[in-house]
Amino acid sequence: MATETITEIPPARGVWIFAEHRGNRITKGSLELLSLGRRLAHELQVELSALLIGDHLGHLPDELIRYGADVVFRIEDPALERYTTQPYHRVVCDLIRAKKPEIVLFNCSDIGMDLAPRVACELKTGLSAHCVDLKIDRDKRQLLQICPYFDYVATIVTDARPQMATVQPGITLLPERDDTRQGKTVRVKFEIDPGDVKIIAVEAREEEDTEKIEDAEVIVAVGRGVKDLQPVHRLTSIIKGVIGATQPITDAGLLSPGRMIGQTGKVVQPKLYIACGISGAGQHIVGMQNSGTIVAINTDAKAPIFRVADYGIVGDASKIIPALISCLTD
Amino acid sequence: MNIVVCVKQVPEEIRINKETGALIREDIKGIMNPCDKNALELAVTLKEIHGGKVTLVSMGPQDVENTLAHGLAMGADQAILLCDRRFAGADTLVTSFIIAEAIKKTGNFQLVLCGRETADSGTQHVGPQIAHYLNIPQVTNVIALTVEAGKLRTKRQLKDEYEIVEVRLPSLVTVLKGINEPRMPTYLDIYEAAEKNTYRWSMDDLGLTEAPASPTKIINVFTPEMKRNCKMLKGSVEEMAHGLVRELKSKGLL
Repeated sequence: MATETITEIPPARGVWIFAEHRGNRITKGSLELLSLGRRLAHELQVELSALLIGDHLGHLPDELIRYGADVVFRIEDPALERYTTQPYHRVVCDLIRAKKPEIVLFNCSDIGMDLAPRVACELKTGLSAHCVDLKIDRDKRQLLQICPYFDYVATIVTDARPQMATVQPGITLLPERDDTRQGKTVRVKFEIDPGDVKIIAVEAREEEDTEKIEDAEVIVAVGRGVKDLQPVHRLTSIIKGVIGATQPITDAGLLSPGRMIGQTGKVVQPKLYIACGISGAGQHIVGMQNSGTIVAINTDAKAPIFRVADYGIVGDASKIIPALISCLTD
Repeated sequence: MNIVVCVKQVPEEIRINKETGALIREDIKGIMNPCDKNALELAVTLKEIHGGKVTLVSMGPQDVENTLAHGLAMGADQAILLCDRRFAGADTLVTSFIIAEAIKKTGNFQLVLCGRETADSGTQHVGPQIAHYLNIPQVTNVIALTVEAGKLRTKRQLKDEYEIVEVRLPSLVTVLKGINEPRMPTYLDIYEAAEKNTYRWSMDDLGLTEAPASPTKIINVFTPEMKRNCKMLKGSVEEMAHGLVRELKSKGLL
């Protein structure tokens, strides 16, 4: 009897993260990816690998291992010292094709948002954006990608491999550093074509507005429901906080863009967050949901902001804020 | 210099059908996505300096023609609306593919401009993906741009620095809202724009027999779990304010 040999394509296996670094340190966002990736790899019973690209990478591969990577792919070249799309894209696509991971995670960062869409495009695979949670459907070995969807969240999946997602910062705790953790560093050599984009200069971005909401312990955030900012400024100064805003407020030029909290703005984790006149669209929630104590003041009792709040006041912020000021100044 | 500007019509106000989670488009005015307007303003300014033609490309239902008419009044020379029932439900990968096919069909272009993200879904995927399908370089997050000696010089706005980069043409650039202030068309502009052409292209016009399948699927839309137990304060405005201050003081937060 004739036998037929079927050569099966090996299934994609393994979880990867694209590791970003700056000033000889792994970025906080990438450490968070290690933490998430570790959990996914554990559920799938596979290795967690980190893709580390740059020049003079020094001790960074060991750092990735101490924080949870099993394998680090180390690609070093003078032409890769600073990120530009084309050479990074080539390296990432070629490595994914060669090693066939089933999941590849990126940060929602300047680099991640520039690189991941183009990589997904070349690999003809799905990419979800701004994920706020990732889960595994073990039966299907499928990545459940939870993304903000207006006032809701949506679960996105793909049958294609690898499954790719960009992940919001601040959605998970940082992994514990373990100096005894062992892993493997694999140096990969590429012929690098520097591509068509030439970086002429890098300039510091000096904000006219020097108050940093990302470092604040107390934030009073305003949304469309606040008509007059004067009382909000007053309250903020009394409680020694910093004023933040939703996108409609910064778009309208009422506060500087650096104060925008949410998907396209900053992610904040103050001890106290007071949301005034903010309905709580998913795009905003992802930027503040990990704050210590959250207070919501809104006229609509059904507004989604109350779902993430510890204390709620149903009322007009323009009446509540002056009442809070008089309580605090009496 | 011929420039293609990719624009999307977005609802002026985001409203959701609470049963299905779908975006309500009925009775809600469609407007040009804010940063796409900046991309168009940039294109028209470049045309005024360097000459050439500005073509708008958009994918969506027939009423997108209103948004395109606004774009023509702002100074674009012609518009292409990719309109076909079979495009419905396309994810970012398929949308980019279709738009790239249309740009190829328009022929001679040196620059493709897009807004960095849309106000409705906001993925930031479509710009880089169109660039990939067109096999041209991309520069994202651009806050300033000039054309010098057949090359682009752009300023990219990153989290805490600016990057000045030079790139050859043809290429694709995604712009940020801060790059310029879009012009308001005058009555004369609107009047003259009525003479300009808007072409409606279906899948057949692009020479496609079927729309590629979207790799991503939304399997459910849900309300995020109540992560915290929200304690609602009750009473008059003063009572609620007092109650809140008391609670926050007891937790050492004030």
